[in-house]
Amino acid sequence: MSKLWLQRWRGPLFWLALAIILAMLPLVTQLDPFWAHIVNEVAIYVILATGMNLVMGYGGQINLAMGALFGVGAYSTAFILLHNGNFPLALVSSALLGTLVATLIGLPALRVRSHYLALVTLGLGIALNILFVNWEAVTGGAIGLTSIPFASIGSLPFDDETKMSYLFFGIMLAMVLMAAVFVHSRFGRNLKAMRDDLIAARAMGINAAIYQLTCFAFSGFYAGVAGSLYAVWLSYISPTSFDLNQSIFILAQTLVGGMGTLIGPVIGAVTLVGLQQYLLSFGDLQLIIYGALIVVLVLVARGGIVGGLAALWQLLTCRIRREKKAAAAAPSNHETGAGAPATIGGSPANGSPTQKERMGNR
Amino acid sequence: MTDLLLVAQNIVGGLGIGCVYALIALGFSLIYRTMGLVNFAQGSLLMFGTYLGLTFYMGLQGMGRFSPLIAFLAGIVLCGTIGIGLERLFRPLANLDLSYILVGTIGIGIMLDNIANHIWGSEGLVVPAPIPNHELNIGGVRISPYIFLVMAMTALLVVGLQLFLTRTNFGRGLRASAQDREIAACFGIPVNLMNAVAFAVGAGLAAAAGLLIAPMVYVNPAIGNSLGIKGFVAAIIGGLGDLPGAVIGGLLFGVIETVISGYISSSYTDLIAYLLLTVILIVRPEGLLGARTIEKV
Repeated sequence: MSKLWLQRWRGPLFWLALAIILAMLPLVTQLDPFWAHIVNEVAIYVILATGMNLVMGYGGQINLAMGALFGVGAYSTAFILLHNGNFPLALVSSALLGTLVATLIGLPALRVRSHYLALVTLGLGIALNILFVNWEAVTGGAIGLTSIPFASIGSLPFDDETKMSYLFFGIMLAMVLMAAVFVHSRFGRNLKAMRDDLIAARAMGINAAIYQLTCFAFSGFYAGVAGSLYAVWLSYISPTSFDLNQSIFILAQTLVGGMGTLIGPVIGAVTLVGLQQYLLSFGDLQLIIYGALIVVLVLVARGGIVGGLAALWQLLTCRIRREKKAAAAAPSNHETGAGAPATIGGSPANGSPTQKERMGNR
Repeated sequence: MTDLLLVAQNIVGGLGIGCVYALIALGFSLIYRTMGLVNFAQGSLLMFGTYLGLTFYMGLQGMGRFSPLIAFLAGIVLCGTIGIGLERLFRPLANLDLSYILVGTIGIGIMLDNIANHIWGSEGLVVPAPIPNHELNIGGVRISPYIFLVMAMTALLVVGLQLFLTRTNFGRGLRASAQDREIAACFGIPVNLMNAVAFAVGAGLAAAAGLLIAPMVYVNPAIGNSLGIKGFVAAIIGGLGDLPGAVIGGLLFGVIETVISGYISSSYTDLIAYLLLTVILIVRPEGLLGARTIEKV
């Protein structure tokens, strides 16, 4: 019984421990504004990529409206703060509005699949962006909204990059932890079953429609929170930040890190945001190199960085195992297994490699 | 009476822009049909091909001025050559998940956009029409004659493509390899070459579309973004992979768009068009004309 409990909560517990350790970091290190700025940007993109990962990596759907949903969050926070609302209220309403809009965008997903779904979400994302440009009373039109007040909770203001980094980092950890709990819950397991074999999952009595919609709703929730942080971070927002390119940037982070893993989007966001910062020194050539690197990363590391590392790990451990087995003169059938190593229970002796892969930490 | 004239004017204008969408959509569908890959860099290829053609037409970058026809063909051929290179690069992508295809091809798109920015600069170009462009007045309907040139060139290209696909050995080989790669390979058809040809033709069509629309718009390195997406919309309406469907989808989308901007709202045109598209896809998930959709597995 207790063992089962441990199995079930191992993932979230691991993340909780990691979160607590990481949460200590900003307290012991006094970040200078430059690094705090980067930490803030990374935190926002980690939240976005994690949300994208929930709908794509776990839900097996495609959501190219992510950038626009990010904008929904940013505009609602900006609107509330500019009309003398407080930050906690703005954050919550951004998250809720993001969830609501994402659910509406997810509705067509119940009928439309694959390329067609890509087009629908892409089109609705563009439609939202047009709304940002034209609904001047609320969004400030193409110029956007300026001098958005800084975030403050009670009498505690977050008015410089360093102070913001505590807030952003904390919210980011909470969001990643929430994703961990979600993925390891019964809901998350059903979701994985659906992604791997929709028909079989349906036959087991899983209501696919509700799950798909929930995925979209979750991605909107994440985008809403990230957007809220973005608005108080730069205190200036305009429609160009919430276009298709933004969605693609988030998608690229998810892919480069490793889709369908919890740590993947985190690594992807850190990698690509860092890369962007680094490439700034190349001036005009910056985006050319950036595009080329994205193509190379996608072509070379199929499972993203996490997938690549997992394959490497598998290769190494397999070799060790094979040597051990060779010593015991027993045949090995793990040679070709390239997926992530299994981390969730299951007795290793009975499961075939493919089964193990499927149950693994994806 | 004037209402009727306005309708006619909108429809002719819509068909003109629809021709351009049709050419882009043809590129999407042709590449999808042969390779099973949606090339989201199509819009960027269009922009790049447009600039290549205009380099000859307007004498950019110290190039001499050439006649419009030669510049048009040069743009198509050069862009097609880039397409051949891209096919080799994208070959491993074709078997992957849609999200990989998206990011991979868009990565190339980002590169092309910024290379164009680097070479030709980000400030736009006003392109003179190759024929005298006084508005014609046909029974009260005012139409710019350039639109007829666009329609004629589109018709020529579509008929040419159809003849190429049905009457030449090369075209038949291309269709065979699109139908079944393995069997085509067994019959000695070089399938990878066929894919490269399809990609080159798709890229060439994009360049043609861009060069045709160039005198009607303000040409800049971001021109491909919205045109590419609209071409994709047209291809989806026609059923992705369906060539006649792509042409019909393009014309239809052009007319719908023009009518919306003429009658409802010009700043919300795209918004309404995409909402309409969503409704269409909810009612008919396989595209408006998608009965014959080819499903690449």
